[in-house]
Amino acid sequence: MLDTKLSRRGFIKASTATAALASVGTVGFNQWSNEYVKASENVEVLEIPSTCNGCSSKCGIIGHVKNGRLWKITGHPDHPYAKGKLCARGHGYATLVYSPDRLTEPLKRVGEGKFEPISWDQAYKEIAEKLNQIIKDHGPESISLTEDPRASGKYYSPRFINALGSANYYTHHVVCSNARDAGFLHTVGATSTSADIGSAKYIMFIGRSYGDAIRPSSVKALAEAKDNGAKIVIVDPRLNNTGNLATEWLAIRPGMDLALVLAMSHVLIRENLHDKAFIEKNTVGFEEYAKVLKKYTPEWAEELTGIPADTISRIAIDMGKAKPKALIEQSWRGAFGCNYENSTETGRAVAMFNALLGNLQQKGGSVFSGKPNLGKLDSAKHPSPKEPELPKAGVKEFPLAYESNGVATIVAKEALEGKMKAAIYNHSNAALGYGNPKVMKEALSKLDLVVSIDVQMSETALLSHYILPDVSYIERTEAIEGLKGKTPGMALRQQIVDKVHPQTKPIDVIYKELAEACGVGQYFNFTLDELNEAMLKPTGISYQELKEKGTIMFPDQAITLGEMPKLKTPSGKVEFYSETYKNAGFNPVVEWVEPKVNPDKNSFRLITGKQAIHSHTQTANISILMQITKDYDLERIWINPARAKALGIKEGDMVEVTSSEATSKIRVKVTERIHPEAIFVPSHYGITSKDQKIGYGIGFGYMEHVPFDFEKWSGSGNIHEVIVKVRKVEG
Amino acid sequence: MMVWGTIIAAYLFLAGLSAGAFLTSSYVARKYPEATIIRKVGRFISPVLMGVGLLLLIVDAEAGLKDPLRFIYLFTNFSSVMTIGTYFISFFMMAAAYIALMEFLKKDVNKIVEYIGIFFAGAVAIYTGFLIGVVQTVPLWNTAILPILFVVSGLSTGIAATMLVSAFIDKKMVHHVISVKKIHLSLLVAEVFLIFTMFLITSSTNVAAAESISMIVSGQYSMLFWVGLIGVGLVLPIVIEALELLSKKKFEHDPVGLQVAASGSHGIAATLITESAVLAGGFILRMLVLLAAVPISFF
Amino acid sequence: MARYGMFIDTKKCVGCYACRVTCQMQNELPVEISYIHFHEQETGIFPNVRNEIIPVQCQHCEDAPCETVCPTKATYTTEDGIVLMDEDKCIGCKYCVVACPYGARTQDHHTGVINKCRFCADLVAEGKQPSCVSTCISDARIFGDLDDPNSEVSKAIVKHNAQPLRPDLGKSKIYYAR
Ligand SMILES: Nc1nc2c(c(=O)[nH]1)N[C@H]1C(S)=C(S)[C@@H](COP(=O)(O)OP(=O)(O)OC[C@H]3O[C@@H](n4cnc5c(=O)[nH]c(N)nc54)[C@H](O)[C@@H]3O)O[C@H]1N2
Ligand SMILES: Nc1nc2c(c(=O)[nH]1)N[C@H]1C(S)=C(S)[C@@H](COP(=O)(O)OP(=O)(O)OC[C@H]3O[C@@H](n4cnc5c(=O)[nH]c(N)nc54)[C@H](O)[C@@H]3O)O[C@H]1N2
Ligand code: SF4
Ligand code: SF4
Ligand code: SF4
Ligand code: SF4
Ligand code: SF4
Ligand SMILES: [Mo]
Repeated sequence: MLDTKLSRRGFIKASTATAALASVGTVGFNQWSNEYVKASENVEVLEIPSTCNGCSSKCGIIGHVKNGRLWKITGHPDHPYAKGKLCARGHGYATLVYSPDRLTEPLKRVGEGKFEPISWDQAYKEIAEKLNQIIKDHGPESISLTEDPRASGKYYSPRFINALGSANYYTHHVVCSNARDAGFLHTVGATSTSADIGSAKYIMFIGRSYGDAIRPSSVKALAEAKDNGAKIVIVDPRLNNTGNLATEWLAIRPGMDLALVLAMSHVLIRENLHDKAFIEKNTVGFEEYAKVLKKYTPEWAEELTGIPADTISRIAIDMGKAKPKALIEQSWRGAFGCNYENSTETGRAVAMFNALLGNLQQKGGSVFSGKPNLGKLDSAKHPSPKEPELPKAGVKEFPLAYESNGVATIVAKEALEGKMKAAIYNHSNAALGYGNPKVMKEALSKLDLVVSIDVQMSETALLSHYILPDVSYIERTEAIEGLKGKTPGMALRQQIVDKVHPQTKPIDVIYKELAEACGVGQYFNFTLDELNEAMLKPTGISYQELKEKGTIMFPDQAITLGEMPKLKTPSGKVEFYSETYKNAGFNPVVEWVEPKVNPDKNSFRLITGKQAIHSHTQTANISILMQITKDYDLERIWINPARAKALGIKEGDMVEVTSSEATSKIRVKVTERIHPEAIFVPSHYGITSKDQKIGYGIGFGYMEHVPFDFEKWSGSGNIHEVIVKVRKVEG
Repeated sequence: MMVWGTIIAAYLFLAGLSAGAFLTSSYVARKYPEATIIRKVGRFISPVLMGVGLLLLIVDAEAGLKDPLRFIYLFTNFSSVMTIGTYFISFFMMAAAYIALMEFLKKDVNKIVEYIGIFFAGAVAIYTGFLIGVVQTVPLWNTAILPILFVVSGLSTGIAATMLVSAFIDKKMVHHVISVKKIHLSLLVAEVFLIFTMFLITSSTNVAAAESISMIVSGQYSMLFWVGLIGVGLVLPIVIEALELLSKKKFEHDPVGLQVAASGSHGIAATLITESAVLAGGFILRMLVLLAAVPISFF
Repeated sequence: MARYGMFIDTKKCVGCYACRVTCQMQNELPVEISYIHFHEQETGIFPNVRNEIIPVQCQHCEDAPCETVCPTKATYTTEDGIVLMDEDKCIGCKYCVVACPYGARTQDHHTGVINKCRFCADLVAEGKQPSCVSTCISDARIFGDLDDPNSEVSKAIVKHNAQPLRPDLGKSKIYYAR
């Protein structure tokens, strides 16, 4: 029996003082929520399924609405990434909808950091005039569009830029997974595999932390694997928060993962533990590869990685014995997504190691996802834009990079060279997150036109000529998102509450109206609903049903494990030897590549990584999340005690971090959890936009220290090629 | 870490002091009927300072302050030391206020009420120690010695406050009440003894307590402890009082000396210094005990 | 009548704070108030290190010290063993805060009222799981009836020989596997 005195009346009563403030959009989430609870005890709660926008995982959510106001969100039980659960960001980012720092109307820049409101029509008119002028003067290859691809964006953004005749569509992967993507793409024909974690017996993570860089169902699966007795090895210069789920931590020297993987591959072949049948049937070039691997002995790797040769051999042998239920997880950003000059090669070596284990498309191994069969608009009625005549900028320089994502920082490079003239950024904070902010600022300042579509005043928005305010994800419906995976499915982001700021618009509307102003409206002669209906057609599911369920899976379309699909490499097989590489001027067989820079006795390598409560730069201004940073001093950098002692640095001291690019002041966390050679910086701080009142001034931005650079293979940002010195300063 | 701060320290200090002042006045009324000033001072300041203490408690209880009717509930939980203390304080206040009123009206004090007052004054003094002494979470507090220490300190600050105020009104009389002085001196000596015994025992029982004590003895609060509490609050008054008592003995055999003493020319300064020092020490003691509250850990 | 309790596996907890944030949303707390606190303990020397993360919230103690000391009876225990607050009675004296061995109580500085984890009594009454349990991304938390030996929570406690944080301080109803 439960007592009935459960209400929080006492709490709410006293908050009536804030009631006066509680007009729409001018108060923080908690203020209005207190207010509204008062008005709504015992009121009916509506539950509306949708998707999270806290990060690229876009987990399924259920929005709980009382009195037209969002109360809380919970995880969608059917969504494959959520499985009923959400991470801290997922819960907390929902408060964005009532953030007092949102963009509420279109703005036009009138001076450095100064903006004036402008009507939508006027904004469209001016932007269209400039775009058309630039196209006329410099050709469509001088305009570009960059974004974090979300469901609507993925459809509308490339279509928009293509409609204007340009191929220059880019995603944020250049500072995320471009290197891994390139390495995998040319080896197994897909930019990544997924991992059948729950059934695996031996799992190695190389710079991938499920517990920090979260997708809820992955953590759940790993916890299950642990329960089932799987061996879980974490390779990381830092004992990350997944450590609790691991059986072993290999504290590798940062930037040396390639050596480890090459040596483990060497051991597999030396010990005859590679899957010969699989290799015979599904791969090309094994002989050349095996020959090259001969020199990469565990002893050779020990010197580079700092991991004992015995350990390397032991783990490789154990993995060989556990195959095919053993794998190196495909990883994401941490070690070889975009970090070192050898990152693409590391990606390649990892894909090859998995192939040696024969774990591809096996239970407990690496899995090629299936895709749902979704429909398209009738092209007779709704013509698609023509293929642009000129290739995407950057393709020439970086032919190995995955073309659909491109090398987004080429925009900045070409801007500095005077070749690029206009850049549109949707849902992207390139100025702070893609490359050295000083260089990015200089580059964006050279452009004739910068347009930002955002929900808050990002650093990129601050450098834009026009800022177009998107509605938040809680208030909008998007294109249907196809879910890839062992079992394909689809999810719908849909409006949970009414628009808070009447002047905001979703991007499907923005692109349509802007296209009309540019004179290419014919490519957008459909509504979002029409698009979604068309996508649904082959599924036989009604739009209404999808709206009610939010996420629908297609178990009958699940892939069959054990059956290798034809791969999308030129040979249709795993390529231990790559003609594509050769044609691009690279070694067709994987080889050891040194990082560009290395620390000495007096310096450190600066490395970075995610924290569970933040996403890139977009959550720093969310007060319910930033409060956790404040409560637990999470913005501090990590330093090893031995190094700290030598420098006279104690826990909590203020230090100065100096690189070739910048100097930052920050407090330290002295911890045995980090390699003596590395300084770890959590990657979500250093907001410089003063309009983000919560995030501004906390911590420093990692990218400030990263020299603007392109890795030779994939064009990715080489963001760990940074050497710093640290000294104690007065607080 | 410090949930209860200066305000609660002041409350504990004033409650102990008020009880001590009341007991001082009752004692003086009996032992030195001629020392009316001291009796009156004790009887007047005790309800007033207890009232101030209660006000502080109320101020610290924010939620009650915003909705004062809630204070009624303070009387409802008989397993709470605070509820019991609230009763003690209420009865004590009633008795002390009645007696002060009688004193003011120059009427006779009802003996029964005075006994009730004495009983509850003692209860209040003990209560201030038990309030925090029952808190298992803070090993520094959770000792049998703490309530005794607080009673001793309460009495000594009560005497100090009474004497200090009396000295302004009647210099002579404060030197007359020799046995009060003797009691006061013994209380101060006992306090020193109790403090170190408590530290010795608790620091050996538990890491958190040891941490508390090292904060006090050698850590961030060591200045406050050694200079404030031990130096100013205890050693200084002990030395002055001891010297005074010694010279008093000499004077008693020397009629000239007695006259000098009675004229109070050097005595008043000593009294002011000693009693203020004792009061400061009493407050610092409460402060330190609250400041150095290290809760138990989970590791 | 049940005796509700929880099991927390610190060997699974990744310190992601999801439980903290969902709890704040569920209970509509101001951002600076949280019912869950995190304690970290690092042991060992590089590279042989372990980091334990212990999420701590109200342990719903039996003979709860906070209830014993609360002079107003604002703190009380339901028949199901859930320790709750009657916020209309609380005067904000903070006696319970100093008495709670687990630092589980926080004061709302707008109202002065003390609050703490309520085991999501309202959700539990509807037959649902507490928010922190249902969202825990590593399934480190299990909630249920301690008196029912067949409940998930009881079985997990037995399997892992889970213990209260400080068994020496009396019985509490959150059991930790460490
Ligand atoms: N909380 C949170 N989760 C997220 C995101 C987010 O922003 N926040 N973003 C999502 C996105 S877009 C991405 S790309 C993924 C990223 O997912 P991950 O790649 O897993 O995340 P990171 O934290 O960037 O890096 C993981 C680990 O790499 C380690 N590392 C750094 N340098 C090296 C090295 O040289 N060698 C090795 N072996 N390890 C190294 C870091 O210490 C860190 O612990 O996370 C996704 N999930
Ligand atoms: N400093 C720093 N740099 C990084 C990273 C980092 O963690 N820190 N992470 C790296 C990685 S792994 C990646 S994937 C990239 C990610 O880089 P981005 O994709 O640029 O991610 P964010 O930096 O979070 O910036 C997202 C922007 O989108 C805006 N936004 C949020 N919601 C909406 C919306 O609904 N509509 C619109 N139109 N805009 C919205 C946010 O306000 C913010 O300005 O950054 C890389 N670079
Ligand atoms: S991982 Fe977290 S932030 Fe990302 S989509 Fe899922 S719930 Fe949202
Ligand atoms: S943990 Fe603290 S608040 Fe919870 S019942 Fe125990 S004493 Fe009370
Ligand atoms: S603060 Fe409130 S709940 Fe705590 S002891 Fe005082 S009255 Fe009871
Ligand atoms: S049980 Fe409910 S109230 Fe308690 S910590 Fe979990 S979510 Fe918060
Ligand atoms: S949600 Fe689970 S894993 Fe995350 S911090 Fe809370 S208990 Fe730990
Ligand atoms: Mo990323």
